[in-house]
Amino acid sequence: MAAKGYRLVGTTQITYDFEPCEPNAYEYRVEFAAGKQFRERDEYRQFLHSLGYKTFWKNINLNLSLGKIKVRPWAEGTGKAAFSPGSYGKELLIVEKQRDGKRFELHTGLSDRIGYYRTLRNAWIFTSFAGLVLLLAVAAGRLPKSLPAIAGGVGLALLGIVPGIDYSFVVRDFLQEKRIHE
Amino acid sequence: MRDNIQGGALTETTFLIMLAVFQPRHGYGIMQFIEEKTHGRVVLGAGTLYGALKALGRKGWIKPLKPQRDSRQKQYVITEAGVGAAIQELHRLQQIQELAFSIIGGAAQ
Repeated sequence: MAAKGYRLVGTTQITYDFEPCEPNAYEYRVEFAAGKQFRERDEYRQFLHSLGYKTFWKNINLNLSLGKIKVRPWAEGTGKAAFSPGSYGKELLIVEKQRDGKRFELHTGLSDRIGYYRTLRNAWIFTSFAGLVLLLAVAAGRLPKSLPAIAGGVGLALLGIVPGIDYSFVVRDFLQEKRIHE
Repeated sequence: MRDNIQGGALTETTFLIMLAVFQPRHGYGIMQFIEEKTHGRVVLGAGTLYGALKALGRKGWIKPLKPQRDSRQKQYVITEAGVGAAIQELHRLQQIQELAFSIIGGAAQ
């Protein structure tokens, strides 16, 4: 969209809102922020604003709910359980920067990248694991043997396994690189 | 206890940030300082810088200054403990440099 001359101006749960601008005037990076605790997410966002970046929250719906509590075992500290609208529905952080010809990356250090991709890997593996748990519950008779339950379990298991494995390789490669470089 | 066991060696990113805040600087200023002084070799990502500033703050090696009026930019400055750690790192790097020159010697010129 940015290359076509559209600038992001807002997001809702199901939409992205754009306004026309010069093509490639802005560039965007997306960060998986669901692993951060609530206060840290806000501090990080303010830090990005202090650098002149603009940010937008976006939901990903990559959570398991227990009633009104969203469960995220891969997250840090109190981020493992989201209780309020301030915590869930804000899993992705879209960061906008005015294009100035300089490299735009949010995570450049090896240690930082390892930590970030580990969180992503764990989130996807958890998704796959949740699907397997669902299938086991159906097989063990704990849940009714219904098509939606089986399809949901298979879907979750398959949805998470490919990116989970992919990010595992990414983390492994960075760890190997870290043996030699910082 | 040897340096490599107790984790005495600082990463390049950490040391550069500490050098940048010998003078009070905000986040963007730190990024610019490092990019300029390394001639573009080191360009810090915002996420990496944020994490490093938090870690250095927790260690007590840098501290935030009170934001000035009408400014949302928080400035950071090195603490006394941070200066001590930076001096220690400088000595460590000097030792390594002397060793490297003694071995590689003329080939490095």
